[in-house]
Amino acid sequence: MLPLVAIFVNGDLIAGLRSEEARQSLWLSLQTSLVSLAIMVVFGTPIAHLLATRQFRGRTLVLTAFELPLVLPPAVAGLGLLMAFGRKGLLGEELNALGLQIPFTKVAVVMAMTFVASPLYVRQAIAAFEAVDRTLLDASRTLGAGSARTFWRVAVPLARTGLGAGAALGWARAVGEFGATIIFAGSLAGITRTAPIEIYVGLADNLDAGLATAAVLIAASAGVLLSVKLLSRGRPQRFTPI
Amino acid sequence: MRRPLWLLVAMALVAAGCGGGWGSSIGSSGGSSAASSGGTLNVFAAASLTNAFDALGKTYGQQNPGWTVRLNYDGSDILAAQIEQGVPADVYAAASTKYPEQLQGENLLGDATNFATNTLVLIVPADNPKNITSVNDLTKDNAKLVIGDESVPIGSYTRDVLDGLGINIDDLNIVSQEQKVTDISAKVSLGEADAGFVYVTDAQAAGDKVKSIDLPADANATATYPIGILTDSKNQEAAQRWIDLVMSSDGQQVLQSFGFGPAPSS
Repeated sequence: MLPLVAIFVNGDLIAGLRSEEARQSLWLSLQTSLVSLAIMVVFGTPIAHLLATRQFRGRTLVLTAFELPLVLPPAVAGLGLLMAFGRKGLLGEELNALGLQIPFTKVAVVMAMTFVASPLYVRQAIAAFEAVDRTLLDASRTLGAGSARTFWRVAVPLARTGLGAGAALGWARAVGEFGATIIFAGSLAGITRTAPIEIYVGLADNLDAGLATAAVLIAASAGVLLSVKLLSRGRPQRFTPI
Repeated sequence: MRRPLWLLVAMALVAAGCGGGWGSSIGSSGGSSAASSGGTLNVFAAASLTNAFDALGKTYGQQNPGWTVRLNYDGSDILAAQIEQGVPADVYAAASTKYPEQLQGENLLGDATNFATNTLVLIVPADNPKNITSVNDLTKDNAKLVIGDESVPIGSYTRDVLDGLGINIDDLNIVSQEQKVTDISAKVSLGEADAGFVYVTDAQAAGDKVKSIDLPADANATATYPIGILTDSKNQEAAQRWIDLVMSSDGQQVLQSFGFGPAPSS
């Protein structure tokens, strides 16, 4: 707790918030992390449902592959992204032919965030779907609902608090991403210099801006965490039909 | 099964703790008998000094048995910020006089000696995708340029050079502003950037992964590197021996072998 408190008491936060750098980086972090969250949720939820409800050969391997970016050092993630999608990377020529150069762009920021944070969401989503009573899903199928309808109308609503918690964690991880972003996307104010990078850049010359940025991030993270906890209070994870 | 598990964890922690190498910067080297007992010297150095100081670190270890040099390389501004916030350091070597003067003003750094110089150069990837042959080619064809952030010495020198050449920085396609010069040369070496402004020492270190384009001598900036002992250092004598090594003819030879200019005579 002390490091968090120290951020709030150590500098002129109001002055810091007025600085252009702090505002630009926070706005950029917000934009990119929300896009990343959307991608995570849209693609990750059906995948998590699949992995939670189907048994197939190699399931453990697939699960491990999905969770790997979670335990990977961010610098490794950044290097990997560069080696795959950089100009000289594996897909570099193909992307170049399409006129796409990804490093140094906002797209690169979103890719870095999504790569490191989506395993966090998927993992939580899998657990949330696994906690859903299978008999309810089966009941829905026997009553004639297709698998898609069962997914949307039964599984997701029942798993929503777990999914919400996963989304909160995934978003927080995306916002906090530093190492992979700085290696793959670079550091340019307004384009790729996200809030954590701005904190690093401003250490010597603009500490107040860094402290203000950090304070906003702490407040936002605390807010998200609190709302998830309040939403899930009093809701049992599983319930069976009366 | 619960008891044996935590016992195992506890034993593992104790074994790891006994491994040594812990907390040697927190005063275990003592004060008076520093020469014989040994210890760890914390040297904070500008990123451009990486190869040269790594080599000198080995020499220092041989000349001072029992001493290890722990080198922390980063942008001179980041190092100064760490020192201001109390991260323990014995020696500070920067790529410009700005941050040492700032620390001296805060009574954190003692007298500083200028031990080397450096100049800037423009580098491009070995295959030179945008066919850049001079600084003036940078504005053509939207070449992706990486430079240092203005808070880092290399960034501030680069801006001086561009001013001196009459090039408007807004006309350039700057894709990233890095916090340490080694990150600039990395992006160019990897071929992600079309060009970058670095020190001649970085160009030399990158070898054949990059091509160097010299800058007109009258517009080039000369970087002056000061080195000094932190006032709160617990290893003042060992720190002085590091500075003596850097200023010695052997030390100067090592620095020059990596492309640095000699210590300015003042």
